[in-house]
Amino acid sequence: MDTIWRLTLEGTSVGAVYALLALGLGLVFGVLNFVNLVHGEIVVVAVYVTVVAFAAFDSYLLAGVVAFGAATAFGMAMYAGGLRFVARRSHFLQIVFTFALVLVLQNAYLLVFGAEARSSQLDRTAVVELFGARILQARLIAGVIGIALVIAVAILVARTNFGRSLRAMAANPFGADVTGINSRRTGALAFLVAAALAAAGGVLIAPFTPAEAHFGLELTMRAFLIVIIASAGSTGGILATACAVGVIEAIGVSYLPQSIATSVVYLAIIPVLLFRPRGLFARRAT
Amino acid sequence: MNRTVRLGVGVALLGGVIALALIPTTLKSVYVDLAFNTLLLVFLCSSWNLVAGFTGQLSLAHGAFYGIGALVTTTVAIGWEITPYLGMPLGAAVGAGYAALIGYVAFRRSVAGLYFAVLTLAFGFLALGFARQAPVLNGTSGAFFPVTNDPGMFVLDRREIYFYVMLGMVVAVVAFVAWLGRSRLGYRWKAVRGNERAAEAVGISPFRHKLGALTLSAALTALAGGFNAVYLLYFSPDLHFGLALQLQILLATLLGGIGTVWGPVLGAAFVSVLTFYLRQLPIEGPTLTAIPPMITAAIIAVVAYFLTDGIVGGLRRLRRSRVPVRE
Repeated sequence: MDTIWRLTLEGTSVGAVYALLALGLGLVFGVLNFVNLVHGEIVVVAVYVTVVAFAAFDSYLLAGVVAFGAATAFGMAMYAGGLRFVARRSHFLQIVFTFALVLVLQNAYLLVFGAEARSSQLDRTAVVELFGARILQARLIAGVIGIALVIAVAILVARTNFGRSLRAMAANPFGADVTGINSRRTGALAFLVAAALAAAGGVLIAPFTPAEAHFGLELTMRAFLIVIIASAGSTGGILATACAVGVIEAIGVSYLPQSIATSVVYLAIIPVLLFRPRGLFARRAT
Repeated sequence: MNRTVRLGVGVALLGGVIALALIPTTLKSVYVDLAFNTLLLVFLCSSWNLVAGFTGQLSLAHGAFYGIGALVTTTVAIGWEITPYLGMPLGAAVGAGYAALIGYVAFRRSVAGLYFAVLTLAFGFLALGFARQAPVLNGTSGAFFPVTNDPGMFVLDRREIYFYVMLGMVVAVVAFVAWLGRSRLGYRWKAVRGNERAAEAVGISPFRHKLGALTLSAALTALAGGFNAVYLLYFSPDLHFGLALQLQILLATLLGGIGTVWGPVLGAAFVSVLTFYLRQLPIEGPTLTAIPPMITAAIIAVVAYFLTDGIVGGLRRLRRSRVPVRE
């Protein structure tokens, strides 16, 4: 029982990070109508930079700040350099283009960081006890900050003028233009928010996740599935689904072979698409 | 096309096939291998083109179908000593079944283009996850066939026979695509690609036609996977289920011209030869081998951006510049 409780906590902390990714992906898809398969790569860059920077500065806080800035900048550089031109073209082209970009990046990591997975040398002995389960302090921090960021984004989207213009663009791009929303600027800001969330996610999981070249695409897939299962419009739904995915995965990994456990989550998509194709948390069709 | 031109094209094609058939007896084995891999890629691209080109459904699970074919053929051949002559069709059937499952889930509710691509990619990962635990591997990363000349098990010392089989498969599939392009079925598939609702309104069921195209395409792809495992006498999940192959299929088909008969052929030939020569580059070192795939992927990104209708589309535009490009 204690093990299950510990795995639930660990799964939730990873799930909170999945939620950050899924939110960003949903935001970019909703506002820019853009299928961004390179989204997970921002996380990978953040993890790599955290690991390298930690080795240099010996301070997780400092390394985290550097990595957050670097990965966000990396995301925006991709947006400015290529993605924003593709965003106006067909989904077909978007998928092909970003898929190819993922493979370029995967090979670039091999060149820059080498083939072996890079683990951070962070303190793994710091544990906290939570209702009888001992989990890594870093995991607790990741979970708490992750959930806090999700709430912050929910407020940003629901309550601010910027959020209103985001929702306007998602609902009707032409109408948004007519009402005087600067769609180019709002689109770029949406991407910035998404990139920052992904970068933060990467910094948060860096202490307990080894950086590895193929990691990004799998993360992106996971995030996409969460968006499809929960439906893009519901922030709470995305958070709940992401945490559920994290917990199922954590429990699965400890009882099944790794490669099967991480794939099993993909099966969840089948009943959802068959019975609630608009997503579990979708509002009534309008 | 008038009769003379048609005759000329026919003679040229026949000459081309005869020239290809002479390769094993005239060229060095490195180049025979290259020719085999080129034909294999042509076959895969033409198969993928059936669903991606004709019905417009961007499937990213074809790497997995290919792997399933290889896995099934290997498992029954090594584990149960069932000959690949039966194992390959069996693999094709299992691949088709997996595709039918994906198609049923996706097309039932008409999952949009984007979600379909992501869904197929997810199913690809799912299949890879299970394949890595396949019993035939015994916990290793690859399984070998016993290497002895055994025609009953389709293990042949006369390697050129594999080449002829591959050539036959390519001729058959290209001929099929050429026929399809002018057939009722082909027009229906294209109608579904063009406008699903309009197709449905005139009595063409998008569900059935998309499902049919995906299943057929997957069966062919899985068949090729099984054949490749026999050719290599080796199966490995990371080789046969690889994303790299999926990308090559995408790149080659797009480069040549998606939805056309000759696009996948030209594109695959170009990509296969390009990859071959990129591998010959004097690049050493464990990490530097990442450079050739990087170049390939970079080329696809650029090509996808600028040349949406591929080589065949570009040629067509040159010939009669008034005619609008596909769609």
